[in-house]
Parts: sequence; C-alpha cells; structure tokens
Amino acid sequence: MSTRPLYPSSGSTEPDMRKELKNTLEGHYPEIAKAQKALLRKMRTDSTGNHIACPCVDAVTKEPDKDFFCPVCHGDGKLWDETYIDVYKILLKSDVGNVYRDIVTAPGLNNANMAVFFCKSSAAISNKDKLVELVLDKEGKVQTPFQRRGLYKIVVAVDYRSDNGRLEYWKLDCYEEKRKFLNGA
Amino acid sequence: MTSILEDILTGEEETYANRVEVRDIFDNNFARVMPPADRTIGPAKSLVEFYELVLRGIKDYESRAGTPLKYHVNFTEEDPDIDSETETVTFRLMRREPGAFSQGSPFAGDIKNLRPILREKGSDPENPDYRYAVTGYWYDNLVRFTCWARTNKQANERACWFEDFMEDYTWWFRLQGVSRILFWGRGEDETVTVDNNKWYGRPLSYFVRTEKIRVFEEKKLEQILVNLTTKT
Repeated sequence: MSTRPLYPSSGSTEPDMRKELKNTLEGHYPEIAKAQKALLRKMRTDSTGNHIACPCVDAVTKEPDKDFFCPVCHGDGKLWDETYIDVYKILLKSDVGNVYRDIVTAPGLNNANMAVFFCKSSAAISNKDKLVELVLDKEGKVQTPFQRRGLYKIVVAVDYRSDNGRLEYWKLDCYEEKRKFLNGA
Repeated sequence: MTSILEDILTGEEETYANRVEVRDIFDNNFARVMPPADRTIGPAKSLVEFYELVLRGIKDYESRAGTPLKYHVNFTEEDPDIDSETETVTFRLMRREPGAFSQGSPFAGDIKNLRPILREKGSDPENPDYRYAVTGYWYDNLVRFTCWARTNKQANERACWFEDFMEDYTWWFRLQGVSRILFWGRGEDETVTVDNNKWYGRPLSYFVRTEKIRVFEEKKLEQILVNLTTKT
C-alpha cells in the first residue's frame, strides 16, 4: 500500500473528512470557499430540555400564528435564537420529481423545495432546529439590510461519523416551510 | 370599487336645510328604488356577478373592521393559477339547476322553469312602433366557499367570520339583485399538503338563486313587398 499522502491537507493516506469539509466550506489555498452564509434558528429549551412555547400558541390546536405575524416566534410557536452558520446547499426534489414546478392546489399554486445542507461538525444542531436562507448578492455576500429568503425545517440531521466514530460533518435533510411573514409584517 | 355605499339622494335633496326630516327623505327615496314585489330590488344578477358582489362585500367588511391590507383575505375561484401566499377564500359551483317555483325547499320543488318564461310584454315607450318582450329564467345554484388558512385555528375562525359576513350582507346581496341566498351547511374539514406544507380548509355551502333577464324588441310590420313574376 502506498504511503504517499493523497490528501496533503490532512497529511494522511485517508481523507480527513472533517478537515476536507472544513476546507471545502471555508477554503484552503488554492481551494475556494464554497459555503454560503445562513442562519441557524436554534430553539430555546428550559432547564428540563423542553422547548418554550410562544404566547401565540393556541391552547386547543397547539398552533402558532402563521396567517398573522407573531413578532416573537415568527410563526414557529417556540422561542428561538438565530446565529450565523456556513452551509453548502443542494436542492433535492419537490413532490413532483426532480423538477421544480408549481403544484396546483385549491387555494393556489404551491412550490416548496426540499434541500440538503452540509455544515461543519462544530455546529450544534438538532432536528428540532431550522435553517434560514439569507438574501445574498451576486458575489455571495449577505445583502444588507438583512432579509430572510427561505425557511427550512430540518427533517433529519444526519451525523456523519468516520474516524474512530468521531463526528465529521452534518448533513441536514430539509424541506421548505412556506411563510408569508419571513421578514416581519 | 371597495365600498358598497351608494348615494340615493338627488342633488336637490342634498342642499335641503337642516329642518328636513331624514325619515321622509329616506322613505321617499327608498320607495323610489324599490321595484314591485315580483321583481328583485336591483337589476337581476348572474352567477358571475354574484361572485363579484361577494368580493366587494368582503372588501367592505374588512375595511369597516379596520383590517390592515396585509391581512386581507384573498378571494378567488378554486385551483387558481396564482401563488397561494396568504389566507384564501375560494368558491366552486357544485350544482346549478333550473329554478323551481313550486312549494318545497330549495332544489326540491317539482315545477321548474325549463325554458325562459315570458314576464312582460308591451309597447316600447321610447321607440315608437317597437314592441318588447321580457323573458326571465331562474337558476338555483349551490356554491361552495372554502376558507383556507395555514393553521386549523385560523381556518376555524375564518369560517365563522365568513358565516357572519354572509349573514350580515344577505340584505345587500338582495338589494343588488340576487334573488335569494341561504346557508346550506358546512362540509367536512379539508387538508391539502404539498411537501409538508399544509393548507387547512373549511367548506361552506350556500344556496344562491340567480336570474337571467332577456329583453327582445321587434318593430311592427310596416309593409309587405310582393314580387310577382309570370313564366311563359
């Protein structure tokens, strides 16, 4: 077996996936960074680990305000905090196959994408959290004033593990949540 | 037009002094716009015109309630080719039959106008030597309105809101020429799902009687030209 390091960045004959993904996302000369800025909407928990419900949640249906703007939870029904996160996004599919087209329903046309996001192992993520896509300019910088472009619910947060079982990176299978008030009322 | 308000006072009456009794003015003018009992108050409305009236009524109802524009409900026909971004009330025609005018509940009457019925005929006062005939045709319609929202709680509230709206504005629909509107019941709750995004629907049915009036005019026969030839 050859001992030539095939992956110079990690100095190993095997790829260090954690480092490889970090280099892919953040760049490692001459590799160009591939990540885009997004927001991780992390749900707050109380001391027992339960989510904290927003006051807009209905007592009977347990639903938040979605058709009317809730300035506290923006329609999530839980309290949350948003932090920046670097992600690499791949569009996956919609209900109608590998094309992105509107689906006719009685109230109107619907088009909710499914997407996969990759992010570094250092991100503290669970499938209770959500990802927020930001409006970026043509060069990839976050446009100011900041505007949310899409909201993605994490269906499965897959923890990809490799070397000695350590976490290498996260793969987040998501679907888009259609909201009228992404950026406030 | 978003307001349903109409000014029925003449210009002269608007300049009356304060001593004029409002009641008299109202009674006089209302009597003027009220047609005979066998006619609808306003010009007869078709089904499409009824939908337009509902839209006007909803806009008026929302503006009276002071609802901000961003929370105004969208009103359209089912399966529209537009994005579903906000709360929507859709309509769909479920049934349409010749109008029944025998005894019985709606749709149940045995005697129906299967063809246009002559309502009136006479000489046209504005066009001498012309006669006119007016035919009418009743239609009994069952229209389903569905209130769509992103949550069950809002769909439930919107359904009750729509029931209240239709009840409050029935008099106005009739004033505008819709013959009859009756609440026909609420159907089973619906859910539409696209990629885990849900729409919750609450279907409400209404019986609506509309009318089609057609006027025919013809001139009296003035002369007959006979061209005779003989063959040899």
